Amino acid sequence: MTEVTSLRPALAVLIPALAAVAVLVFGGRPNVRESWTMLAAIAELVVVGTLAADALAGRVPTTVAGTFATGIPLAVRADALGALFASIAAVLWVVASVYSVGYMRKLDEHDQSRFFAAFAASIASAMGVALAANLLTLFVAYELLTVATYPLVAHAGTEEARRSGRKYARYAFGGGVAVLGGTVLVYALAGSVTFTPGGLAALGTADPLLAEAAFGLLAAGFGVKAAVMPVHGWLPDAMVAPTPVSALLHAVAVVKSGVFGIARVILFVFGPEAVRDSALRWPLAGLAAATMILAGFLALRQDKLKRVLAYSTTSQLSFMVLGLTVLTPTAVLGALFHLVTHAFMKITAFFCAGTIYVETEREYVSQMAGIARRLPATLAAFSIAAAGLVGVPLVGGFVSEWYLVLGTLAGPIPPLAAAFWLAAFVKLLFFWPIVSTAVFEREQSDREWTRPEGLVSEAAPTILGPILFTAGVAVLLGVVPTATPFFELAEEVVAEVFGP
Amino acid sequence: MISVLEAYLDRLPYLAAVALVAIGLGVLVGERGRLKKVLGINVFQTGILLFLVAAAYRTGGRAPLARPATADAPSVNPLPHVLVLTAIVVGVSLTALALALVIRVRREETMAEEGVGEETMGEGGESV
Amino acid sequence: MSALLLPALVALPVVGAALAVLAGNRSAGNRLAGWISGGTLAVQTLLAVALAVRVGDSGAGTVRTVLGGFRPAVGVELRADPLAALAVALFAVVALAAVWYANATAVGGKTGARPDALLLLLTAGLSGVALTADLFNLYVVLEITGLAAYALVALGERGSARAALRYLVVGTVGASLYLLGVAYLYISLGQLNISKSNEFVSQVGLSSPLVLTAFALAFVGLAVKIPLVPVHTWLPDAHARASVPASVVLSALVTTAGVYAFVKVLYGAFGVEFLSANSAVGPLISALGAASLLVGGALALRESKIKRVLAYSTVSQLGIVVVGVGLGSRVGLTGASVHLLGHAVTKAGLFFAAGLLALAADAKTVEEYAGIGNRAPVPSAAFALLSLGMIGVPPTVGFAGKWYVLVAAADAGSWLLVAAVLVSSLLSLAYFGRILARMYFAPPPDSDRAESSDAPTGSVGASGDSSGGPSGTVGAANSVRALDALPVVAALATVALGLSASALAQFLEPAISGLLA
Repeated sequence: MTEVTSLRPALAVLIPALAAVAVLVFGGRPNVRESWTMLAAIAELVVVGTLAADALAGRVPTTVAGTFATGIPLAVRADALGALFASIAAVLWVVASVYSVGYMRKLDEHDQSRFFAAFAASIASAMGVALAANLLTLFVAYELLTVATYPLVAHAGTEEARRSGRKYARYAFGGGVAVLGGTVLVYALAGSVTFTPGGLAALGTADPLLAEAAFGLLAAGFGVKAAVMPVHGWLPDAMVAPTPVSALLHAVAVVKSGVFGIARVILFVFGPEAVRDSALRWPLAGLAAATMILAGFLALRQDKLKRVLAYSTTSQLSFMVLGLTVLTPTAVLGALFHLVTHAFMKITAFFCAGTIYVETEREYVSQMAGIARRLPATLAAFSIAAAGLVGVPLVGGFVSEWYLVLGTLAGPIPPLAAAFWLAAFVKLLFFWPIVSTAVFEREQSDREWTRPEGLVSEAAPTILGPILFTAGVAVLLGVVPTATPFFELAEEVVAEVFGP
Repeated sequence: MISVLEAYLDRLPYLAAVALVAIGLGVLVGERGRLKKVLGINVFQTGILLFLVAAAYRTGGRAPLARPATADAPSVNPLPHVLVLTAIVVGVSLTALALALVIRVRREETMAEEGVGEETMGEGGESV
Repeated sequence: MSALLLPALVALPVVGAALAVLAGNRSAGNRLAGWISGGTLAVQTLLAVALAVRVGDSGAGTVRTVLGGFRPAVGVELRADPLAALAVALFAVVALAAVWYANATAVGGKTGARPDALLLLLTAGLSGVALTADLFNLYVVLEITGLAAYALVALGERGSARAALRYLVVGTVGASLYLLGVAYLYISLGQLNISKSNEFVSQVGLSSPLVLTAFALAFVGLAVKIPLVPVHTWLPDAHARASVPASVVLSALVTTAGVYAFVKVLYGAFGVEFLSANSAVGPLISALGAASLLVGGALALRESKIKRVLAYSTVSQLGIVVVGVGLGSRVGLTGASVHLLGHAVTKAGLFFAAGLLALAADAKTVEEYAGIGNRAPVPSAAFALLSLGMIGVPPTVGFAGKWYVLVAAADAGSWLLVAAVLVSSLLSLAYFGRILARMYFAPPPDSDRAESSDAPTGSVGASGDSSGGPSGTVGAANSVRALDALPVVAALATVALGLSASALAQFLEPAISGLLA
């Protein structure tokens, strides 16, 4: 692993940031505005692609943008873990951009410029999170991510949206303060906050109580965005945001930045050795296991489709957190690969929910009867995603959950593996009724239908295309997982941290 | 007995300074009238200035410029006097400003009592 | 030239003030006073920049002049290190901006007195605070600053005279206590030069009752000027009732000078050995800072008027600075300096933005800010960005200063201080957050309110301004709109300063070393 100076990591952060500016500048002309978004998304994909290729080849492109306070460099670098997260975000940004354009126009949403600008700014911040070379840079990006996503949550401007926005800001900034506290502690204890595979050696010799406090603060701070119970409350409420936001940010970028932060802290700040000895390891694992199962049961009680998906996300995120705390190489590999598979499956599910809303204005599970007749392709994609989330073979979720379970069985507390099975079972309980209602039930009243029953009228290609693409990738990840660069990157991270 | 009295007499300026400071602060805290508060500040400051002047005094000392110091008759320290002169100037300006403000406040209150509208007020119009 | 530079920085604004008065300070229609003040401050800014360059070039990092050709122990010494140079530049630039604002919006109304001369006098006092190296001279320049500040407050809205009088009484008592402390110190040391006091204090005894009494008196006196909780009570009224340019210089500059004076007295006159010999003093100072931080933040939450929120936020932010000052370490002092500068720029921008929003949309309370983001986009955006800076969202300078102070507190093992600073971030998030959420995501409170109020509608700058500019013409509206540049520049500056915090710390290094020597 050699560091190479390159401007590309900085470019990966700047492209979406500039896109945000361009969107605001050309706000008055929607077509020009959307061209900028698309152009930026494609350019971003290319840049991040080369970064990922470099990371796989053992090179770490690094940009040092200057020194920040107390001489800590403000630096971005694409190591394997960073490239993994960045590539998920880059691929899905292209897809989500196409989808959002279709979605927002179809609904004729207000303040679209603000929406697209904040969207691009969120991606820029997520890229900053992914590529940050040290904890302080990560914190900077993590806070900016909160700032950039807040307008998206509060977008509707209704009392409900503003309340959810306030809740989101309270949780996220509260978590940010905890991260800041942990970062200060790490810096005071170790004299450095640079990410190092296997952890900072100086932390091992530091006062154990303070080191535990630092770990606790960081885990709690990142745990907020990772929606680990009991600090998950913002996520279901944040579903008031327009669907593309829920899809990309609240299923992928934002929540994953929390999981990603925990991964960075465990693998690159404290290191597996120190975390194994930490008194907080099993409490964290316990919270994650509880979240996996409890969130599933909470999802059972929801009727609004997006809230079902939100609780499902809460549950899935804790899959990764549990895998990271179990800390066997296989479990960590599973957790990192689950970061990828869950992203593609969940974004598909959210896209489908959005499509159903756009086409039929229905957002409750109880209203879904017979929808499959009208939107067969959408429902097929939804079923694939749901199957993957439950852990049915041949979809990506099966592979990552397989590694998670194997890794846990090989770990110090094998019975924890039962948590994965139980959580998957609960998922089956809430996904099955949705699919069965949509496919097998006939609708009670056709009062609201504008077209004759049974007529297929799928959404526009800009909406349907992205859905089919992400569902396809989800299947690909399940059929030939090891052939995808994502899997290789995850393997590379494990090799870096645990040794070959 | 005599020596105790002498000791007090020697420190008389200091005692007077303490007394002035205490009276000034007492008036400042105890009195509600604005004019009296301004007077209190003045007394308070005078006490502090007296303290400085007293500290400059040397037994048998002379004014330095009038008659140069000799071995048996040192000159008093001139620096505190300079300081006190400056402080008096500062104090006078502050008192002037304070009195002007007292008048302004009184005028505003009278107008409020008589129910005169804001727009006819001298200087206190709503500014943003 | 070199010998004249430091005295010129104090004397020039005084001369300018006198000229502005002669030019007809009291007539609002007369633009001459405005041009004189603006020109004076522009020259002052150039001189300050020249000073900063000179200080940066000089090997020792200081430029000194002893007035009147006396020995430094007797004569009044002026002395500029990088911190002082930066402060003088800050004072000049912000005062210049305030003069522009005052003239463009015709603060003071048809009959009111213009603030130009007072702003210049204030600049002279502030620059004096930054440059003086003499304990008594510090008292004089603090009082000049105070005089100008009290009078500036009195130029504000209804009730400002009362607030000014209260400010005057409290401020004068504080200054007098400081003078008493100086008297004690003079009696024990026999000299008044700040940088020389250090060694004399060691000779007299770092913990001798006389030195401790002197410190206690000076500290209490300056605590009023900073201000620290619990002697902050004069501030919200004075800052909120003053006119906008006055609020700007009070909140951004006068408080800054207060803290700077305290740093000079504590580190310059008493010295860092005084802190280590009296181990309770540093923690006591930091604890008072932490108290200001929390109390100021909590009180800001309860306010509904924007300017009062900003005023309490000043109390809170200065608390962070004082926490850094009390820690007595290199990192702590660096953090205090960075945060002090950052707060000044940010708070000046916020008051300008608040003033422009009041002009453009007649909004002065948190309620009235509802939906203002669409009605006055530019000042709103600047206000939002500056608020984020005040909350301490990276990469603004608000975060950089906070980071330094946090690291210093952690290095010192003062976990309670770390916690206090972190909690204060949450408080500032709460009180700025509720404003920001209203600005962008709430519908205007009552859309026909504009018609029902007696304010003329439509033209920017004329609404709600009953005491009015000289005329509500299009020209006046344009000159008001140009003011949008002020908060925007401030907002950009907070980000730029935040990104260059390391460079800033490096520039200030000689000053910090000098203080800790």
